[in-house]
Amino acid sequence: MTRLELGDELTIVTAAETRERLMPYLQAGTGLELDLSAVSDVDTAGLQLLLAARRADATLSDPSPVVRDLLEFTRLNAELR
Amino acid sequence: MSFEDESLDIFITEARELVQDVEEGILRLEETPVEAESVNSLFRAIHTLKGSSGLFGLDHMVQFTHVIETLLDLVRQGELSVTPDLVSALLPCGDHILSLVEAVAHGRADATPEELSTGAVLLSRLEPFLPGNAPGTAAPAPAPEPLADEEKAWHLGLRFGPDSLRNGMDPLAFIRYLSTVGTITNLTVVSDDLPALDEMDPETCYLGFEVEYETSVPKADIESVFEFVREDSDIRITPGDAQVDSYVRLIGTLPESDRIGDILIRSGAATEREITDAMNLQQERSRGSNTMVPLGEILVELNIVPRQVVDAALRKQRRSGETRAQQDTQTLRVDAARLDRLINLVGELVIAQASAGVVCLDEGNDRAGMAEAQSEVMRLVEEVRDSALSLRMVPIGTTFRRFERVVRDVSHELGKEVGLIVTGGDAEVDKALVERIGDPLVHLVRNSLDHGIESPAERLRRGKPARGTLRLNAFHDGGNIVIEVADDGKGLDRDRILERAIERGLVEPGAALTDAEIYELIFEPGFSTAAAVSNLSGRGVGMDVVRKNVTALRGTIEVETEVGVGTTMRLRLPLTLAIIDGFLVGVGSRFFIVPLDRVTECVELPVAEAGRNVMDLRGEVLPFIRLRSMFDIDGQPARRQSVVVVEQSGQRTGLVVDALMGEFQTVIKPLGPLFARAKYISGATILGNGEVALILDVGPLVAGQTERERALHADAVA
Repeated sequence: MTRLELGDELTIVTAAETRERLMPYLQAGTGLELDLSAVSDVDTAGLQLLLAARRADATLSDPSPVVRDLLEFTRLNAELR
Repeated sequence: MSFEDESLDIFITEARELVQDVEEGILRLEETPVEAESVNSLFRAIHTLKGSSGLFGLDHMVQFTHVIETLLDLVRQGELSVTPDLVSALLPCGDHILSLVEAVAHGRADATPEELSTGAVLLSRLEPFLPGNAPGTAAPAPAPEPLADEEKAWHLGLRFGPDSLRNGMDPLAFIRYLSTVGTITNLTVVSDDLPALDEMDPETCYLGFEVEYETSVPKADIESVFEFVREDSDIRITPGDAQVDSYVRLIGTLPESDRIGDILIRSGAATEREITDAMNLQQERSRGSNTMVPLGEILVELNIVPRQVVDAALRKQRRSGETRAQQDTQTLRVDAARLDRLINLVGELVIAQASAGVVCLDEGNDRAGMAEAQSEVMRLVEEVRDSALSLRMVPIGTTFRRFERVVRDVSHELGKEVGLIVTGGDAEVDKALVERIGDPLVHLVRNSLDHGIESPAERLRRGKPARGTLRLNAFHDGGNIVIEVADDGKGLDRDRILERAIERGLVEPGAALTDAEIYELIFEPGFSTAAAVSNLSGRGVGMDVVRKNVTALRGTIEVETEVGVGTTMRLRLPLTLAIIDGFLVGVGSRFFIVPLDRVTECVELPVAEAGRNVMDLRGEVLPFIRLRSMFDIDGQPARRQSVVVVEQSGQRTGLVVDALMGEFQTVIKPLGPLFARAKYISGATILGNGEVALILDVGPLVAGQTERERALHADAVA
C-alpha cells in the first residue's frame, strides 16, 4: 500500500498531472491510499478524478475540510470513503 | 355566457365611454379652466373608472387611475390650477387607460411589463403637479410573478458539455451558486459516463447532476444561472412533483390565451427560451411532413413540462377559442323607448297577421278585403324594419367628439392655431357606418389642418384671423347622411393640382378639364401636391384611400373650394348599410338592381340608335352600356328596350335593359368570398318570388365605360 499526498489544488489545472501521478501505482495493483489533507481547492475535474481513482481501488483518507464539504454536498460520502 | 363574463362586458362598454368622457373632460379643462362642473364630472368619471376596475380586480388600472384621481381632487379643491402642461400630461393618461381597457376586452386582465412601464412614465410626468409625495406615486407594483412568494420545488437535470471544464466552467460552482438563492434538497452525481482512470481524459467533463431544488425565484431566473453553459449543455428544469398540482391550479385561474406557449410562460411552468426551443424543434420535425406535432407533446417529450400541466394549459387554450367567438358579439346601448316601440310594433304585427288569417278563411270576403289586410301587414312590416334599423342608429356626435383631440394634437404639432366647431352631432347613422367612417374622417381632418389651414403668420398676412377654424357638420339629406369637413384655409390650388397631375401622368397635357374634374384628381392614388412631406400627410397615400373607403360604404365625396377662402369636403353616405332603395330592371330572365339614388331618369331606347353605343338625350350625347352583352346573357333583346340613365360623379351613362320593374326595397346580401373580385356587382338580394337579383355597382360600371370608350377612341385614332 502506497500513500500519496495530493497537493493543495485538485482542479482542472492539475487534473492531467495528478492523473499521471496516480496511474503507475494503480496499474501496479499494489493498492494506493490518497492523502487529501492538503487539498484546499477542488472542482468538478477533481471530483471526477477522485471517483475514477476510487473505482480503480484507491482509498481516500484524511479529507481536508474542503474535500469533506464537497463529499457532503455531492452526497458521495458513502461511495468515496 | 356566465354572469361574470356578462358584467365584464358591461364594464368594458362603460369603461370605453368613461375614457371618452375623461378625454373630453380634460380638453374642457383647457377651454374653461375655472368651471367647477367640468372638473367635477371629470373627477367623477375617473373615480367611477377606478371603482369599477377595483370590482374586477384590475389592480394595475386601480393604481394608475388612483394617481389621476388624486391629482384631479387637488384641481377640484382649487389647490392646483390647470395649465396647458397639465392638460398635455393628462391627455396621454386617458389613452393609456383606454389601451388597458382594450387589453381587458381581449381577455388579458394583467398588465404586461411594457404597459406597466408606460404607466410609470406617464405618472412620473404628473409628479411635478403633485405636492410632496402623494400616495400612489411610488413605482407601480412589479409584474406579478406567478407563485412568486411560495417556495417551489424544481427538478434540475444537468448534463454539462464535455468541454465545460476546459472552457473554465465548473459545474459544481453553478450548483453551489444555486444554493445561495434556494435550497438544494437532494443532489445525485451521475457518473455513468465516467470511464476508467486509464481511459479518461481528466479535462473532459463526464459528470452529470440531478438536483432537487426549492426556491422562490421564477424558473427563468434558475435558467439564467446556466446562461453561459447553455449552448453545449443539456439543462432541464422541470417542476417538482409536488408542484404539478399547484401549476394545474394556477393555470386554471389564468386569463385565457390563444397560444399554449403563452399560458405556460405566464404560469411559470416553462420559460420563454424553452418554448422557443420547443417551437424550433416543432418546425424542424414538421418539415417534410404534413402534420404538425403539437407543441405540448414536444414539451412533454423534452421533459420540460409534465403532461398534467400541458393538459391543463390545453384546456385553457381550447376555451380561449370559444370566448373569442363570443367577443365578436359586441354590445350596443339602445334607448329603451326605441326598444319599446319595436316590441309594440311587433305586437301590432302579430294582431294584423292574425286578422289577415281570419279574412282569408272567411269565404264571404272578397279579394278587396284580403288585399286590405295584406297591405296593413305590409305597412307594419315596413315600420318594424325601420324601427329595428333605428336600434342600430347612433348620433354621429360621438365620432365627432374624438376630433377635438385630433385637432388639438395635430395643430400643436404643426404649430398652428385651430378651433373646432362641431354642428349637427345629433344626426343619426348606423353604428357599423360610424365605425367605418372614423378613419377616413380623421384623414380628411388631418389633411385640412396640414394643407388647408395656413400658419398663423401667413393667415395674418392675408388678413385672416390667426386662429383657423375647422368645421365638422352633419345633416340628413333624403336617405343619406352628409358629413362636411370644412376649413377656412387657403383652398385648393387648381393650377398646381393640374400641373402635378400632368407631371404624374394622371392627365394628358393640354386636356380640357372642368374645375370639378381637377379637384377630383386629389383622390387619385399617388397624388400629392405637398411640397414638403410632413409626417402627417403629403406622401400621396391617404386621399385615395379615403375615397376608396367612402366608395366601399356606397358613399360619395365631393370637394368645394375657393382660393383663399377655404375648402369643404363633403361626404355623402347612406344611413344604413343593410337596406337600399333599388330600381329593379330585367334583362332576359335575369334581374338587376340599380341603386335608386344613382338613377336620374328612364327613357326608351330609340330604335334608330339600337345598333350604336351612344344616343341623343335631349341634345346631349349619352353613352350606354348593354347589360345583356356586358353580363353575357343569352336570348334576343326585347323588341322595345329601355335605357336607365345613371349618374356617378357628374358623369352620366345609360344602361340598356329589357324591362323596367320599378322601385324595390332591397335588403343587401353580401356576396360570398368567391365573388370578391367580381367587378360591377356590389351585392345581391332575393326577390319576392325567390329569384336572385344582382345589385349593380354603378361607380366602377360608369368608370369602366369611360375607359372602354377611351380605348375604343385610341384604336379608332390609331
